[in-house]
Amino acid sequence: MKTDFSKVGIEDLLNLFVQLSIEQGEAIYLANTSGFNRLGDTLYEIINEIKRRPDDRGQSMLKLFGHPNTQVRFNAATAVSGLFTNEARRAIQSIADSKSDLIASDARMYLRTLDERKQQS
Amino acid sequence: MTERDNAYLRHQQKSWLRPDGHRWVCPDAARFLKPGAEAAKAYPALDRKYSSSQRRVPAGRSDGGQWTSGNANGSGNDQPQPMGSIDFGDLSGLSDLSGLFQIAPTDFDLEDLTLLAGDVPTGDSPEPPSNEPPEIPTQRPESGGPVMKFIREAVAWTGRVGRYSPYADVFFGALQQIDETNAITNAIKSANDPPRPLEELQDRVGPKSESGYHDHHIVEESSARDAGFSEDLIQGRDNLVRIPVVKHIDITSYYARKTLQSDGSRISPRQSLESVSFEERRQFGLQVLREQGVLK
Repeated sequence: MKTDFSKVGIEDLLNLFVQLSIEQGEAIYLANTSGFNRLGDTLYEIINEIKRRPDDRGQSMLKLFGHPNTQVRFNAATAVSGLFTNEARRAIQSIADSKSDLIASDARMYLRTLDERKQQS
Repeated sequence: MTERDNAYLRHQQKSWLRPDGHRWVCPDAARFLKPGAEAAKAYPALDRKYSSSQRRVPAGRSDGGQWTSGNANGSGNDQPQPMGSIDFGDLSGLSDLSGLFQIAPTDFDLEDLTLLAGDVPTGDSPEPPSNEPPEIPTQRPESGGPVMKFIREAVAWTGRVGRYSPYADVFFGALQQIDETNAITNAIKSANDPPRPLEELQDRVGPKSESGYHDHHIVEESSARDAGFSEDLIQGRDNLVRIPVVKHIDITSYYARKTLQSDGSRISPRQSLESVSFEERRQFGLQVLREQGVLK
């Protein structure tokens, strides 16, 4: 069931985004794939809501690029990778370079796919 | 005396009769000696397990602690650096081994590990790395989140101290008391395997299963079948590799995780490969194996 986020303020949306992203990181750690995807359903709605707001258009995601949690940074960067291409790429690249994290391999595969699509188009 | 009590006694007696009985010498045995005394002199079994004169690969590498005949740090002909004296205090988390003998046998086989990628509760946060080994529970952790959390922590710890180090040896010996089929123990041991050439991973595939390892389809089996590719391709030698269980779980999980794409869609790698050729899927699969540190 979809949640109506249209009346939720940006700051609250961002807080929820951070909380769910942290839970997603834990789901990767525990190999809980269905839990990860369920959290992703809600995250997807939040992101679309933020992008829809005329006074934001996804801009507020940029400040999450400096968040200490890797999954928060990864989700924020992939959420706006089509809008803020260079900034998002730098954020994903920094995760990919970290090597020590489970999410780093996701980031490397993400960039690889991104580059391949660019070459094809 | 109940049957369970008898089993307990048999178990305890057996551990002192077995050839690797030294494993059950308390790792912090030094605290029972007078100050300044060397634990290895009082407990020769421990000394046999480790000698600073033996050349070993330094801790922190995937093969750390393993004997080596050559240069351990890979830089010319320098003498390898021994790990130094065993600091038994580092293993305080393992000092109470008595609780391990209270374990009743449980039904558990490798199949339980395949459940790890399934639907599990998410209450626990990942622990930050520490020099202490993860606490060995008094019973085998429940399938799903609890066992995966324990395995992750143990894999991280053995990666730091060295898979073949005396520390890891003591840890695995203790763990085997609650892990009768060795499925968890072998999953932890194999997870720190170094990357191997494709030939080696392929040669390992055979009719006989190997604890700690799963046979993995480079091009995912079910989605390839859904796409109509032939069984010869799917089950062919070129498409099969034997890899550590934990890596297999991580790769399967990765394929199913939906990620936001630059065009605003949200799809999993499995979905993104639906319309591509077998060879493209294979190249992608090989890249995933490289990223996971399985394939050299």
